[in-house]
Amino acid sequence: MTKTFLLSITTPEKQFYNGPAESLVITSHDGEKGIWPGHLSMVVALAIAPVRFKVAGQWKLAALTGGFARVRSDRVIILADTAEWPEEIEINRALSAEKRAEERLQTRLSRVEYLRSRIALERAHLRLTVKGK
Amino acid sequence: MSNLHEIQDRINSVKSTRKITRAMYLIAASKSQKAKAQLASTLPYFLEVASTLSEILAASAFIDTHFLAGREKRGASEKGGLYVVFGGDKGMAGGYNQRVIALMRERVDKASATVLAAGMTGKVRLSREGYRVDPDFFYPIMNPSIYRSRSIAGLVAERYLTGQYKEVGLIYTSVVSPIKQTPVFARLLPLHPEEFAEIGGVRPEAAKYNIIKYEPSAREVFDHLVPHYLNGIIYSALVEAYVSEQLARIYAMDNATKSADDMMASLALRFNRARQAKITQEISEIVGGIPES
Repeated sequence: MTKTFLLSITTPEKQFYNGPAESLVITSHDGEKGIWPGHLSMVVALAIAPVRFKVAGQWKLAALTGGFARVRSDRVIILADTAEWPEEIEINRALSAEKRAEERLQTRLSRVEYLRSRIALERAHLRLTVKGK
Repeated sequence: MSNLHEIQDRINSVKSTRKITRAMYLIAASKSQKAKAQLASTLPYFLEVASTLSEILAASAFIDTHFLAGREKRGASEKGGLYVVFGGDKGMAGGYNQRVIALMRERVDKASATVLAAGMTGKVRLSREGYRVDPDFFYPIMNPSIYRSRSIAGLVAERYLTGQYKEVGLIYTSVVSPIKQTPVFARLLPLHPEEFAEIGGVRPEAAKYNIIKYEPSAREVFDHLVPHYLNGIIYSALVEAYVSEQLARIYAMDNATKSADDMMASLALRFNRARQAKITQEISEIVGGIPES
């Protein structure tokens, strides 16, 4: 039998996923990390990037924003601002968000506005990547 | 004669007012139910955030973050406070807004405080009272959403880190029971580690033996999480304030409906008496008018 750990992904709105997983790939600010059962305890802030995990031999993909992961040897808890499955993503919304952010970045912005627009652009890219377009 | 019409008009007007108070009562009841259910579904997330923060504090008590008490920015302690106040969106809720303002008077130094008021009615009343109310802070209370509380939390954390405020407080109305709501004062920032252990449930001694790696660093994870933690408190306060306002309105509107019923009963009595008097008068006129034969 394959070793598994318990994975839960929670957002303020709902419990997004809760169940066993064989492995998990998350992206922190310095790159992707693979997590298998029995991992060292750690807390990682997640970049705006897709997250993949394997359940019963099948990879599942989701888009997370504003997340961090608490890793224990037998349990991983991911807390995120938003979490979406590819089928939940509205492609037109993501495309228009991308366009809006790009247009904003063309104009002169304060530092805060610049960062906000960059993050908005990253979120749009994430959704489009996860959606596979 | 005109007396009868007048009474009939009064009855009709009371009847239509009663319809409104009754409808407001029912709307307030269903809204508060919905908000309560929403609050319950977000609880697991915030408990998890609080427990992570308390774990970080327990494992590395000396992280150098300005969010913690005793490690504030230099000079901040002489400054005034920043207060987020959740008043009512609308009137027609009995003494709801007054109670919030009464607590403000008690807890907040008017001269030095900066007030961020959410809820239109509360905001207007506070500026009339002479508080320095930030005009750009514009949020409603109704239909609380996590997005709204998140932007409030982000704004508050950002402002606090400028070092211009000695503390950040939150004033909202808490639900004690369906007929009792009490305004409360909660300190948001700076954070006090001992309070954290209470909420997060991680005791320092339990965390000592657990080596945890933080990426990028304990401080950065901590600073990243603080706005999320504040968000949790602000969100639940927002929901409580909203539910309180609705409950205060339920109570006020229920009373209004009841007194409308009383008024209608006494008006109906007066109407019937007047009608009877009119009939009696007509009969006596007819009887009195019969010529003797």
